[in-house]
Parts: sequence; structure tokens; C-alpha cells
Amino acid sequence: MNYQEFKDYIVKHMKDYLSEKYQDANVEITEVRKNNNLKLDGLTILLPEENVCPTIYMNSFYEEFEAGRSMEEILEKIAEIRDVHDVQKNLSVKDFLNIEKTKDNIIFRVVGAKENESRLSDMPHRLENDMAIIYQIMAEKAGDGIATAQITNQMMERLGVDERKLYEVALENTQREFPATFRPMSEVIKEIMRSDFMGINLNTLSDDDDMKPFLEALLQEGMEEMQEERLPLFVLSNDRGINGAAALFYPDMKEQIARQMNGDYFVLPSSIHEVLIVPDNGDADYQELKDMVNEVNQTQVAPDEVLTGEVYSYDRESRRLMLAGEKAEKVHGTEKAEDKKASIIDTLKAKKDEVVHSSVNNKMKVNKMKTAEREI
Amino acid sequence: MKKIRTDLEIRKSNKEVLRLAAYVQKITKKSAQIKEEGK
Repeated sequence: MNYQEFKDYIVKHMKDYLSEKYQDANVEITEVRKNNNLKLDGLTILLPEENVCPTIYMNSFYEEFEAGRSMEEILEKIAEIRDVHDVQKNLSVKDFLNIEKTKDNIIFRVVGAKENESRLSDMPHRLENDMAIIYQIMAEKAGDGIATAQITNQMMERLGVDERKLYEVALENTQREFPATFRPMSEVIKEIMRSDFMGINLNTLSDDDDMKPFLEALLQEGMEEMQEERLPLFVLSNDRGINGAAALFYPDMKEQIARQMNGDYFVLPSSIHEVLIVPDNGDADYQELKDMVNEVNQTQVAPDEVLTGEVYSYDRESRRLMLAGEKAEKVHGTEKAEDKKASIIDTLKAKKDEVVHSSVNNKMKVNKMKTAEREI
Repeated sequence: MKKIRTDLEIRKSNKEVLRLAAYVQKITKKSAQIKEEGK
């Protein structure tokens, strides 16, 4: 069964797996543009009286089908998701776009600006270097997940607010609903290993993948290699681990990290869900870190979860987060200016020495002349 | 506006551990290299 046939089958047989209340629902699959302009196929099961409904993406289910999961299991799972996330009960578009009713549920997240350029033209946002803060309305927060609707320019207009107002309410709500977590990498991996890691089937990784022996070693030898003092790497996210990179833009967060790091630091955008913090002790080369980010983005990060391919640097003196390349240029520029200053000082000193020397010579000449005069 | 589509986002811990472990692996390797060069 190819992908098109798979989608047709889902649409045709979906209602057989749904409860009675969904028998009049409209079942359709439409193309949806997701983060980083990724196009996915979203299934919606919309009841006649509803106009807000969850989207269930078919692409990952097709991967599961190809990996051997039966159509029956897949349809059962989709029906379960739709039922569990039937959050839009009694929720109309009118209510959803009433700022008084929805203002406590407006949150923000962060995405890459370059990869989302065309999407950003249709949604309120603000830029932070090459990242963009965008806004969502949270319809549900339950279990391990959240259900959100992206705020477009049209929706903002209907809400009757501007981007500044969205930012103001989202800042407060996001911090409250998704408190930041800042922990050593060793602690984060230990926690995931305790919960889900054992579920990873290492056999699904290719033998050529050098992650395989590394993960095997992690499982066998534990985390000795990952002690904090040996690996100064920290993870900034939120308590849900979803869209946690946004925590970087919570008020005073960057400065709080600087205090903890006791100086400047690098920010590696490991995904939209978290960023990594590396203290800038002068050992790390930003270009090497950037290459690392790009390699991990290409090999281990889902395309719609990539944040950016840059490395950022927090400069404590100016209290600014900037592209690490920009900071390196600034430092290089300062060094050059220092060199130039030094070279001007050297030139002046040389001139001075020359003048002093010539003045001494002249004095000697004058003295010689005086002596000669006396001799005459 | 006739309908609003919401997206379900669920934490995918398996993917999370793979990308974090990839950074650990690369940084550990780099640190070892720096240490070796320093000898």
C-alpha cells in the first residue's frame, strides 16, 4: 500500500473505529504547513456542531505502518487520540477568539526565522537574532501533551489586539504554565533513561551509526563519563519538555544563567524543545560548535523540531544574546583595534625615540660645534 | 473563519534522548581530544 492508498484507506474506514457520536462527523485529510515549512498531512474529524478540532498527522502513522503496525491498530490509535483529545467541547470559534475568554491561554514558542520566513508573514511575531517568537492559544494541557492553535494575523485581528499585547500576556502565561528547568545534562539523561530510554530499540539504528556503540556504552557503563565536572553542559527547557527553547526568552533568564555560569556562555539550539548551555571559558571554538549543531540537526533532530543551525553567545558585559559569529567578530575587531592602538603607540614611541635620539645627536652636534668654536 | 485547527504536541522522549546523547558524545570526544593535545 503506497502513502496515497494509506490515506484513502484511513478516510474511508475511520468512522468504523469511532464511537457513535462521530458518525456524522466530516473526516478529511488536508496538507498542513508545520514548523520549518514542513508539509504534513493532517487528519481532522469534525463534528457538525464543532468548528475547533484537533489535527492528527498521518505521516508518522504511515512510518509505523511500514514498520509493520497493522491498519487496524493504527485506526484504533487514531480513534483513541481523537476521543481523548476531544477538548473542544462547547468551544466555538467565536469563544476561541474572544480575548477575554482566551487571554490566559495565550502562550509563546520560538522557531527559526529563516526557515519559517513565509509562514511568519502570516503570523504576528518578534525576532530575536535569527529566531522568532510566535504565539499560540492553548486549548488543552493534559498528560504529556498540549493542544494549541497557531495565532495568525487574521486571528489576532479577530482578538482585537496587537503583537505587543500578545507578547505581554504570553510572557506571563508561558512562564506560569511552563516553568523553566535548567539542569546539568547528566541529570536530564539519567531521568530520561529511567523513564523511557530502555524502550529504545538500538537495533533500529544502523551499524554505521556511531551513536549505536555510544548508546550501548551508556546503557552498560552508566553515566560515569557524564559527571558534571567532566562535562560542563546544561539543558534549558520547561517542565513539559515541549517547546522549551522558549524559556530562554523568559524575563531575566539569560542573566540568571550568566550568574550561574559566572560569565559568558554559548547557547546551542538543540531543538525547539530545549537549548544547551556551554560555559564560554575560552576553550570552545564557535565554528566547531556550529558544525556540531548542524550535524546533530541533520542526523538526530526531526525536521519540524529543528530550531536553527546557529550558535549564540551571551555577552555578560552588554547583557546581550548574539550570534556567536557576531561576538567573535566583535572580539576580533577589538583585538584588531587593540593591535592598531598598540601599533600607533609603538609608532609614536619610535617617533619619540627618533626625536629624542635626533635631539641628542643635535645636542652632540651643537656641543661639538661649541667645542670646535672654542678650539678655533 | 469557519474552523480552527489545533495541533497535538506530545513529548517524544526517545527522540529527545537521542539528540541529547549525540551532543554528549560529540562534546566528550572533543574534550578528550583537547586533553590529548594538551599532554
